Formats: sequence, structure tokens, C-alpha cells
Amino acid sequence: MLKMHGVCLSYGETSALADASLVVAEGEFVCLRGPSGSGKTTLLLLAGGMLHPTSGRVELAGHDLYGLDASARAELRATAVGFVFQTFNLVPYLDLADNLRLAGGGHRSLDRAHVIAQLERVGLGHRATHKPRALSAGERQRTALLRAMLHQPRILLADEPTGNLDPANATIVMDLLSEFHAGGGTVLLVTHGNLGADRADRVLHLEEGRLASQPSVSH
Amino acid sequence: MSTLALILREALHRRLTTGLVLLALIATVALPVAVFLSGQASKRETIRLMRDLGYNLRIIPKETDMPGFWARGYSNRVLPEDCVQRFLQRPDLSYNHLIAMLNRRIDWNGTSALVTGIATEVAPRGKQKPPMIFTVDAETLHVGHAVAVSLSLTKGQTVVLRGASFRIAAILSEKGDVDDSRVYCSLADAQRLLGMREQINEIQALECHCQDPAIDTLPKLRQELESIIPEGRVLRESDIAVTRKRQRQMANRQASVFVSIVLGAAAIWIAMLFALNVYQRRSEIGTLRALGYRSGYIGRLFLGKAALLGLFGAVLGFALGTGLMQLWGPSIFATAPGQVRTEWLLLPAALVVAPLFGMITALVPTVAAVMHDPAVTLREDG
Repeated sequence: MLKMHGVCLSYGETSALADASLVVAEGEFVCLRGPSGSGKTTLLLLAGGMLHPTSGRVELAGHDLYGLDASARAELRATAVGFVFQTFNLVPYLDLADNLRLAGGGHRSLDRAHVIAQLERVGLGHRATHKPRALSAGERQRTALLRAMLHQPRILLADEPTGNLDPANATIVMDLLSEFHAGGGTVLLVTHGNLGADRADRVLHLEEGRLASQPSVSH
Repeated sequence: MSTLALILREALHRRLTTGLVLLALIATVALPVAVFLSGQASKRETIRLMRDLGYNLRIIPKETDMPGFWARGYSNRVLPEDCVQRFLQRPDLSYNHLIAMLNRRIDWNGTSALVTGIATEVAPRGKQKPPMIFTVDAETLHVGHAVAVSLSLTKGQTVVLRGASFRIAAILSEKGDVDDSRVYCSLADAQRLLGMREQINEIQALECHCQDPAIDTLPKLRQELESIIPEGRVLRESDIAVTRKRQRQMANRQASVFVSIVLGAAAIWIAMLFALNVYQRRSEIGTLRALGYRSGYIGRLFLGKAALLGLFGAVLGFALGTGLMQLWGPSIFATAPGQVRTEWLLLPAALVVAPLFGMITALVPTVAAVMHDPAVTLREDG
């Protein structure tokens, strides 16, 4: 599903990611751990086609991601990738239902009734007309996660999705990720904590821009 | 979800920024509309005031003894009365407001009076405008101030002049020039009084093309006249013509400088507000990119907002500019309050220009938004 070969990203003299190679198989749940500033987010953005590597090659869903032009890369993100961020990144002036309708990069029209039904599935149906600022952090992250999954992507790239949540909400979010994984989806979860490692098929460690694998976690 | 819906929601969400951009666009439309309307009103008022200065062209018989003409104030030669009709079939002339006259100085009970018979003003085909001079009815007189004082004449009085009876229709106010010694009557009455049937000795007119003051239009006027009245010659009172030209050119320059300053300031203002808007929406831009939206879509969000606000600005600016001029116009143009008119054609023009102006001024910030590296924001947020 995702292959990174010798990917480097430098800003002048500073190396954000050094010679990273990674293979995430279709349907695999990979947890990428590392301290703050170790390059986890950079790796995730590179995997999602949001950053140009200084060198190396990234393949996503069979495409040479950076061999594609910007438009094709955007289309691939819209159809095959779901992003989840620590800060939720909901659009502040849209209510929850309309935030969900942004999913899929505008490639398909999402019916409002359909997205409200999806919100009900995660216990947020009554919040459909609320703006993000009226929601708790947990509710916002559930909405963001739902938005990332709504267009049925092949891979979810989650950047510390539980970083701003209390344990109860963090568990709900991890349950949603597990549910996506159980449905055959691929997950690359980035975290600096322990949460999520126990649900992953494999845990990788990133430190100072260098990637090292850890033994697979068996379930 | 449509792009328009997204633009509207964002505009309503960031009311302050939206309001400030809208304000600038309203000013962008309102001020030029107000300047245009005041310019038009000023032009009409200027024409009226200039008309009060009188005609600036005098057509007299070619054989006129010019030193005698300047001494007497009129030609001692004549032209046929119907020669003025020759102008009427020529729409391409530089002459307008043509009036045939017959002038002769007579003695009226010991007072030297300049009898001036005037015909009804005529205009070439397609150039008809309100007349510049009063008309004098048959068997009536309009008496100059000095003559009226000298002969103790009053309005409404019936007098006998060279055996003919006339009613004094008006005593003219003191002007301080030769007009104070004039006695105006109809051309037919003057011809009968003076025994000069179907004759005139002057046609007064207004030069209607005010061009660059560097261009001397007199040769053109003379060339045109030669083809119409070969037996005539044209004199131009250059002070009036030059004043008219300079006043119009000054008003045009003043308006263009003022509008340029306003548009320049509004453009900077809008560009800065859109730059602020791009900065405020960095996270949103990053999110939309992560969701798979393309650069063109991001660009449309900003340019679409500029265009939409431009449309609102056009309507509100037109209403404001027109309303202000209707309100203040009468005090600015105190002599002719009705001169400020609503120019409805400005509205469709504003509806095209204001959105374009908004989009052009928002272009640089929009390019910045499109070029913005979403990863920078998404990493910062993380």
C-alpha cells in the first residue's frame, strides 16, 4: 500500500528525515513512535503527498507519488488517503455535517442526510448543526476522524490523533481507527505516547529523523 | 457542498475582514460614481454658465470694414436672412446655437440705442439643444438698462419707435457693457423698423468642439464657413472659447487624479485584507489540501470571495454614490439643484468593474494562498 525507499528531507543543513525506508502492506496497522521533533509528522506528510522529499521515492497505492503532477496527487489524496491531525483541523465556519461533506476533495457530492447518519453512528447526530467551537475536543476528533474515513480511503494517516484527548476520548478514537482497520483499511498511526501501539500490527520507532523497526505486536 | 456556499459561510464567519473589504469595494464604486455624477453635473452647470457668457463665434459679411466694425460693434454690410438655414442640413459642423441678427444704431428721442433684431435660435440637424438666449415676441421690446434709464421706460409700458407701437416686455439688468444700450426686438420687427427686409448683418454661434487648447480650430471654422456661406467671415472671441476649454480640462484632470488616488488606496487596502485573510486561513488551506482539493479550488475560494464582495460593493457603492450626490448635489450646485441626475448605466458598469477590481487586487494574496506549502501549517499545528 505504502512504500518509502531511502526518503530524505532536508532544510538546508538540517535533516528532517534521513534515508527512511518503510513498507506498509494493504490492511496493515502500523504505529510510528518517536519523541517530539523526531520527524514523525514529516514522514506522514511525505507519505500523503503533502511534502516533496529531497531524495528517495514514495509509492502510494501503486503510484509513484512524487512522479505525479500536483493535480493527480491531489486526486489520489481525495480518493485513497484519509488524514487525521492532532489539532482536528475542522473548518471553523462550517457545522459538523458540512465539515464532513468536505471529505473526498469535492470529487463526490456527499448528501447532508448521509453525513448526519454517519455522525449518529459515532454518537454525534445531535451535534450535526453545531460549529466545531461548540464541541469538546473528543467530539471534534471523532468528527475529524469520521471526515477522514467518509470517502472510504485505502489508507488512514493519523498524526497523534489522541494527543489532545483525555483517556476516555482517546480510547473512542482508537476504537474508530481499529474499526477502520478491521474493515480492511490500512492505518499509519504516528504517536509519541504508548496509546495505539497495542492495537498495531507493527510498531516503528523514529528518532532524530532515522527510522528503526521494532518487533511486531501480535494480537 | 458548492464553492459559493463555502465562500458565503466564510465571509459571514469573518465579518470584520469581510466588512472591511466590502467597505473598500463600496468606496471603490461610490466615489467614482459620485465623482462621475458631480462631473456630469459640473459639466452641465459649466455649459449653462458658459452659455451665460454668450456666443463665442460671430459670422459677419466678408466685405465688412473691420476697423468700423470694432468701432460700431456691428457690420455695415448685410447677408441674406436665409443664409442661416444653410447650416441646418449639415450635421458635421463645429457650429451650434445659431442665431441671425440685425443690428443698427438709431436715435430714439435723443438717446443712442442699438436696435438688435434677433431670430429664433436654430441648430444643425441632430444638435438641437435648449436655446442660449431669450426670444423676443413680435411687437415687444427688451430694453437695455442705460436706454431704459435715459428714456424713463418701465416694463409693460407701450412705446412708439419709428412710428411702430411696441410693448416693453423686459427691462434688462445692468451689464456694464454695450448691451446696456441695446433694444432687442424680433428680427422681423427690426427689419421693418430699419427698412432692411430679409437682411441680417450677423449670425452669432457657439463653437461646439472644445479640443486641445494647443490646436487652433479657427482655420477649421473658416474652412467650414467657406463651404456654407462664402460671403461670410467668422470671428472667434477667443477668451470665452479658451476659458470654456480650460475649465473642462481642469475639471477632467481633477476628477481623474482624485479617482486614481481613491482606487489606488482601495486596491492596497483590499490586497492587505486579503493577505490577512490568507494568513487567517492557513490551517484551512492545509486541511483542504490534505482532503484532496486542488490549487484551482483554493484559488476560486479567494477570487470568488473577491468577486462576490465586488458584486455587493457595486450595488451598495452605486446606491451610496448616487444617494450622496442627490443629497449634497443641490448644495454644491446651488445655482441648478436639478443638475445631479442618476446615471443608471453606471450600475451595470459597476457590476462588471467592481468584481474585476476585487479579483485583481486579491490576485497576489490568492497566488500566495495557492503557493502556500500546506505542510508548513500542518506541521506547525502538530
